Amino acid sequence: MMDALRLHIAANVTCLRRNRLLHAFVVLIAVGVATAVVPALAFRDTSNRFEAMRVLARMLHGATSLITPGVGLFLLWVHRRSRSISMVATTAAPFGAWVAALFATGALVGAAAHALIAVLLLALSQAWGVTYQYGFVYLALDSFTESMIAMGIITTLSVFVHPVLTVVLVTLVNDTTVLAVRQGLELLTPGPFVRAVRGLSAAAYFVLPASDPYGERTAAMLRTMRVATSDWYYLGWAGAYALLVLAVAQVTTLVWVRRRPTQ
Amino acid sequence: MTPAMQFRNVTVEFGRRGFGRRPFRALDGLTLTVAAGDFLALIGPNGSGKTTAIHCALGLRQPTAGTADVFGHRLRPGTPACRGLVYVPEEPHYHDYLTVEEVTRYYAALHGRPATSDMLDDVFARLHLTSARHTRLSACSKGMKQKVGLAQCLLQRPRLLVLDEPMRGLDPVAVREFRDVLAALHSDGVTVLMSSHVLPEVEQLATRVAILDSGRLLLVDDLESLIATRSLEDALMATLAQARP
Repeated sequence: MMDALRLHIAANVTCLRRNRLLHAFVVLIAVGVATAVVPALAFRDTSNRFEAMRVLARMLHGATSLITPGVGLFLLWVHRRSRSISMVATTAAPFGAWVAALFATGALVGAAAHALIAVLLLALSQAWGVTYQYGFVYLALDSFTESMIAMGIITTLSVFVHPVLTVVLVTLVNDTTVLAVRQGLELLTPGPFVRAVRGLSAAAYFVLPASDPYGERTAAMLRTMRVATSDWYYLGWAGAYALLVLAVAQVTTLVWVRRRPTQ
Repeated sequence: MTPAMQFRNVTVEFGRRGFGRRPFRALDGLTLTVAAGDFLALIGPNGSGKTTAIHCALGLRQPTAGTADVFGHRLRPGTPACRGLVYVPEEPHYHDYLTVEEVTRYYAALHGRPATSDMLDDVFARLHLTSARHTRLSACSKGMKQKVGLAQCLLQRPRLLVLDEPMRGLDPVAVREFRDVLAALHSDGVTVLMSSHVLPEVEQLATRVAILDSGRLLLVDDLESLIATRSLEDALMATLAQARP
């Protein structure tokens, strides 16, 4: 199983390394971030520099969290489009390893990117003489956790619907948008219709996976970047939740793709 | 002795039943045995169910009814029962972003017999792939991609080789190479199931022939007795004419 997993991950990494579309996407995001960062270089005092680092960290981790969930979706789409799944399925290597490699490749890419950003910020804090707060490490881990949850959802959904539709669906129907709808419904005068829609939106909110399960409770930390013990505790739970989402995603994807490897 | 492949009353329907809708029956009660050491050719018109039958045997599609076994096992994707099996489809669906060498190593390892550099040198030389070993598959012709499938056959020394229209669209030189490799493998004891429209190749390679039409098995016979008095093409046409109203 581990040998097959390693083989599939290596093939997936090669796919990402050689894909020009993905290169262009990464360059586009890098240019956008760089454009936003340049003005911060003019800051001379420590507090402004710290604020610039904080904004930069959120921007870079945010952009990486957008790319990472797409890795699983992209790899699955590449394999389905080229119909290479049927070739892999007729070998004796465990098929579960192939599915696990989709998620593992995304996790590796995400972990490497978030770690690189954390190291970049550490280097920047040394260069600017700004005290390095553990909040930057926390932000890296928290963003990684969020991107793993998103990857589990997006990749699994793309097994059933077209990748473009998957992205549209996940963008429009997620826990944040449903929460906004629920808050909007609270403002309306209750009637049978409003009550029914409230019930539906409440059910949808509890059924939909949370992208940032403890976001509200750790929001204060992200302003100061000073991490309390309780924040690590929440991060641990968020990590466990991400593992659960990935496990469900792995099983669902495996069962569905194994039923019809030719599609 | 366990047959290499056995179809028992296999039926495959596409689409769902419903008001005014009837599912399309791609295979209709196919019962066929491929004995170990056979070279069985599946022939028949387009849409006769050849690829569907192969997919059922390989576990790539679940039959609506009946069973298809390979060496006594019902295949499921990526299970140990797939060991000793090499599948070469009509369109080689290999990973386009890998080079010829990378994809050959990758599949050899997945099949459970990793290829050493010496093994690859030998196989690439035999298949005239040496100059293309660092070329990405996306830049390779169909013939070169099919040779990657042949490379797997040579590296794995499989028990069962399943080929779906392997020579369609290949140039005469590639067809000749393909034919030589298949003949050599079969003479080494490898069981081969091949679907094909290229009847002259079937005549040169197969030991038995099965004719399918509209999902039904019309005839299965030894090649020698089938072409004793006429060509395979004539035998196919006569069988189809007899079965069709």
